[in-house]
Amino acid sequence: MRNIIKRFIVLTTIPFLLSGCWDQRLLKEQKLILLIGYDKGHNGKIISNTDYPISKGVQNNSASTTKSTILTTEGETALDTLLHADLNISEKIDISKAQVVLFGEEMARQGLYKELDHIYRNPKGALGAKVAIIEGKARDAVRIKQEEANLNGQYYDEYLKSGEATGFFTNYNVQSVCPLLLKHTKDPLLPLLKISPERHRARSIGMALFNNEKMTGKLNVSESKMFLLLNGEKKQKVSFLLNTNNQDSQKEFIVIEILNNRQKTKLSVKNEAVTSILSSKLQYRITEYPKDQLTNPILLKKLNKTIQKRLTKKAEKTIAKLQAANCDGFGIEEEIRVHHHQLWKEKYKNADIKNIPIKAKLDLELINSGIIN
Amino acid sequence: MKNKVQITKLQMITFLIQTQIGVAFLSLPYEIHQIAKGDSWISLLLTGLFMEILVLFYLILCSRFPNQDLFQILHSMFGNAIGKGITFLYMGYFLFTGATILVLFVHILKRWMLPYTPAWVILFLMASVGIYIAIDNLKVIARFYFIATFALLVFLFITPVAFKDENIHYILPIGQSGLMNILKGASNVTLAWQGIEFILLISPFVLASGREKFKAATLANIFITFFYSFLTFVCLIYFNNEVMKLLPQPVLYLLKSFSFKIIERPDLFIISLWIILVGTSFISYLYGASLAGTFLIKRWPRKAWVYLSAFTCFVFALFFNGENEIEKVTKTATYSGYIFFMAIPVFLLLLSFLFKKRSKGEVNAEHY
Repeated sequence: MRNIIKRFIVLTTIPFLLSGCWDQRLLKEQKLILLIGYDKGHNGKIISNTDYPISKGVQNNSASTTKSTILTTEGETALDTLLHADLNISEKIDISKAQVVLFGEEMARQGLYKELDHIYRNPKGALGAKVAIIEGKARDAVRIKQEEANLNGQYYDEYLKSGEATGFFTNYNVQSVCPLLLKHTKDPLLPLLKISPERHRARSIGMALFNNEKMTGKLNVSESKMFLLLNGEKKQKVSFLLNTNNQDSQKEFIVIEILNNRQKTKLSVKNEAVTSILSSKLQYRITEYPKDQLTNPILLKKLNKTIQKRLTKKAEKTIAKLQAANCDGFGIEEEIRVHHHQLWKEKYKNADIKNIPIKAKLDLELINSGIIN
Repeated sequence: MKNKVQITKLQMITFLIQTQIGVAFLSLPYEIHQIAKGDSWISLLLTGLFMEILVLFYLILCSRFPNQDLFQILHSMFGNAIGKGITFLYMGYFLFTGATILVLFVHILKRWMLPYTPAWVILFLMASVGIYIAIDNLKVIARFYFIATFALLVFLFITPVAFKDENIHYILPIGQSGLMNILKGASNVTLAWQGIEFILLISPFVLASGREKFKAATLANIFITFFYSFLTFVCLIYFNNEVMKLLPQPVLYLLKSFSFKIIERPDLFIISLWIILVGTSFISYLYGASLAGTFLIKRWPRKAWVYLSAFTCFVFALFFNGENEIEKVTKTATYSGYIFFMAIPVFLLLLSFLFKKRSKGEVNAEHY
């Protein structure tokens, strides 16, 4: 009997100890922010645009709809703007579920790390969020009235994911971009979007080039694809449209899809000067060739040569753009550090990528031309 | 003795692993990276090698006194007064280490998971769990440790996710930080191996010959060494030098950047498992301290000593948990470790060789 009483007392006291938690975060008291866009304001201030869903409840037997609501606030730092946002919202603000962080171009040219710092510092920070740059203002991007997804945050998340899958963009999130923002031996490239407000759509226009944390240039879409090839991305199946006529005035188009990519970065050192060679062995197939002359083997060989020439030209142009922006997206300095450590210490520490010659060498091999010849 | 408490070889392995892998390993890659940079994983392998020599010394000592634990060895070597004096120091060392574990535990937990929960609540919960298990005999503790080992395996299976975004260039070229730094790093992380001295405490209770005990201890040491090196390696190829400087708990940070379909924040999941590992280390030190206590005052039961030890650790951790104090406490723990798990046992071994002392006395298992 005494035992039972003892147990009873223990059992009744334990619930009192269990209830009450200092660290609870109830969903009903929080507004989950899914999309943040940072813009440069006046006098070095930062403007943030946040997008959070509100439930509209059930209407006309249909499922309950959620709608995006947008809030724009200004502050001295990135977190300050969010604290200001908190003053305007009926519930507590929570950015731990952010899916996408957008930066206006002006902001990106000043550097990204300062704005991301509070996410890195926060134990609940959304490190998996995607990062993209908006040509123009991030405000327009957050305020977009798109029709493809319920919430704007979701829209950009899906948008960037599909862009990676088709091979326009590098696959960086808040965390994986961090080493590159801080470090000097490799630089990031981030997706660049443009908003056309009258068409209610975002458009990918290539990638933004960075030198450390500062945006320094842009690549267009086909150059972005070229960059991914030269950088040895394998998963993405990239397509190119090329003019196969040797004269630029006449046009004979062909669309090819790269199926396999074996990429190697070689460094050759002569007189303590490094030349880097990016060589790629590409296997491709022809997905469209309106002229249709693919039965003749001699012509095929000629065609292959033309494609190779055109692609190499494109590669050179891409590299030149990267060098002009001083963006070491290929991690050439890193390669030098790894393979020629002494030389790197003496000469190439924080060297400008401009001063390192980079050559592209593409080998192309036709696999098939679709299900017809 | 009729009901002599004995544990098996496997239990000895898990006991050692659980005691040694505790609070320190989450921040281990960071600590060692400050010195050895990209070659940290080599440093850790070297430390493991060094610890293996220590294991050898321990087991030679144990084979000279097969039926006695550390305190009885001290007693039979130095006589009653000095033996008890050193035992008292050991008790202090165990209590201090236990308190250090609590301090670091609260520090990390408050940083990562429960920023608003008062420290005393977390401490109280940990201390009560410690008491709950430590009052039982060695067999029960060893069984619990065996089950808890599965928590450890999760770390080994989850962390390789990072290979997805790895960059092997971060650790190349191998040997970039120089031999001196690698060695210096190796000597600096011995705190992570703290708990190895429990070989001396539990060895008389293991049902095995001296050779088998050596094998078991070696296996435990190999596991721990590779566990540490592997985690550090993963962190090194995922974060580069600049980022590593910013992350005091790189293992958690690594997991935080991934999210799975079912588990959105794996770091929280991992912290919960880590609490078990911290708990097991803490329990071991409570056990060690209470063992020393019963050796000092035989009239008191071990249970009383467990309560007293846990209370001491709790109070200590309650008052020393400021940012500056933590550094001092960890440093003191490392240095006292040098004395208590390296200097004294090796010194004992030398003395026993010198005076040709060995004993075949029965183990006094009254209290265990």
